[in-house]
Amino acid sequence: MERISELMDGELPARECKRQIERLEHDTKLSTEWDTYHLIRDALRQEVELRPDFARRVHARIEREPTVIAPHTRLAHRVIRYTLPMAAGVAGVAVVGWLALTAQPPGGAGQMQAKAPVTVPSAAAMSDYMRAHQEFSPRTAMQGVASYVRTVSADETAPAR
Amino acid sequence: MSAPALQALRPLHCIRAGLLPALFVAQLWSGAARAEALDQSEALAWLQRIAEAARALNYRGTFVYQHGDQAETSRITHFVDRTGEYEKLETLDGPRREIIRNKDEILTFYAESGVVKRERRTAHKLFPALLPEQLAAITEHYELEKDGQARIAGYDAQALKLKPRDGFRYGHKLWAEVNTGLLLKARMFDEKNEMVEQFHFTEVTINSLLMREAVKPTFPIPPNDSRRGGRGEAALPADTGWMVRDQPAGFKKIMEMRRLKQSGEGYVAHLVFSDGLAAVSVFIEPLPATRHPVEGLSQQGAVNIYTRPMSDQLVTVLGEAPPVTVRQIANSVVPKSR
Repeated sequence: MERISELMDGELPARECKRQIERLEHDTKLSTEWDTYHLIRDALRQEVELRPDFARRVHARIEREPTVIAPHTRLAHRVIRYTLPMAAGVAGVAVVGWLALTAQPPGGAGQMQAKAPVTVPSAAAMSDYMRAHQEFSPRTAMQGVASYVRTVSADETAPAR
Repeated sequence: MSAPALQALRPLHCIRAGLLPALFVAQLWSGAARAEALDQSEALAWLQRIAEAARALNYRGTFVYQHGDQAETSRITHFVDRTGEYEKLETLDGPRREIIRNKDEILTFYAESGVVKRERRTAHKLFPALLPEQLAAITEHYELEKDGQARIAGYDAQALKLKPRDGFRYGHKLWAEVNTGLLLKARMFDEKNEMVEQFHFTEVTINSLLMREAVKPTFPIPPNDSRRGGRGEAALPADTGWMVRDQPAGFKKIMEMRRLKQSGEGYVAHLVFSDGLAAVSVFIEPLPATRHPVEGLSQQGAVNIYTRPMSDQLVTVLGEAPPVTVRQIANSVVPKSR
């Protein structure tokens, strides 16, 4: 564990750093610590807080990455070159992951949508509710009264006198 | 990754092909982590700028509100002086309607029927802009990132993307004017990544020299309703006796109040839940014996509405959130145990 912190701080001799990286690769407990150290370091430096399971989530995404190219020569040079597109790849996977995740929202929204819309409570009461709601929508904080256009949309019937 | 750590990994003789995956991961954790973190904090700062701009700028422009296969054009004017914020929205398509917002109330004028609806603002002191707690909640439930620049209504705009981390909220894309932060365009996406709603300025003047006249209502303001005047505020924070037992993760109660019905007859309990970016309102009112509503879902733009009778009460839940969210909230409304 001490070694890990040394590795992080760049205090290990080259040979030892290889050994530690190998350990990191095989020891999940150790890799969690590696993760935690980074989190602590970021917190100390008051850098933006990361979720503690960040590494695990990135791992999960990498698992889903279709291609991993492992060149045999001039490694360090290549690593940097491959890392950038990979990071972009992660962003892409995030979108796909999100779609896959939300395609079937819990509770089966599909069933619900099959039901015909109802007009109870009355249109007038609904319109009152819509207006009352807008005040608390964070959207109103971002775009002011523009969000209230939802309440006067043309398909709304005007309240009777 | 810290610079020293990078240096430690750099010596080539330390590395063999077998190490590559580990190194990959190490690089990726830190490189991607830092990029994401930076991007996220910048995106958050943009959100704050947007909220600030919405409050502090004078502007006047025309925007299109698009939902489903409909598009409607409206004009908006925002004016600020030492006495406060004033805002006016006029619909340009369809029936003429006008909304006036000032620090105390919202007035809605329906020109075709001559009706003016008056809504007292209960929370303008509590929700001046996006609060830090709100921003923290946002990062917990959405992935934020900057998404390039675009030109909108003649201005350069910074795009921001907010991807929900689960199926209980919609995705957002926002475009803010680069110099002032004014929100020029806003889009919401459903769980299938289809657009459910869009606001889009086609033309806007920012920091325009406006006179107070520009935000004056064009309709006569009716005198304050005596029924309401006699009972004080139309909506007051209160313990309503109701609670939501099982709302989707991240939706925290931000407000609970008793609201005098517009008809002046009776009260409605109103609870508001928010995840920082979307809000869901719960309304509970006694159900008249003569009416037998059925349970069901309807939709207006990005707002989903779910209604269900519950013994002698009617529960209506609405908010800019997917059907599954409003339904789950509606189904877990219970009386507080006394």
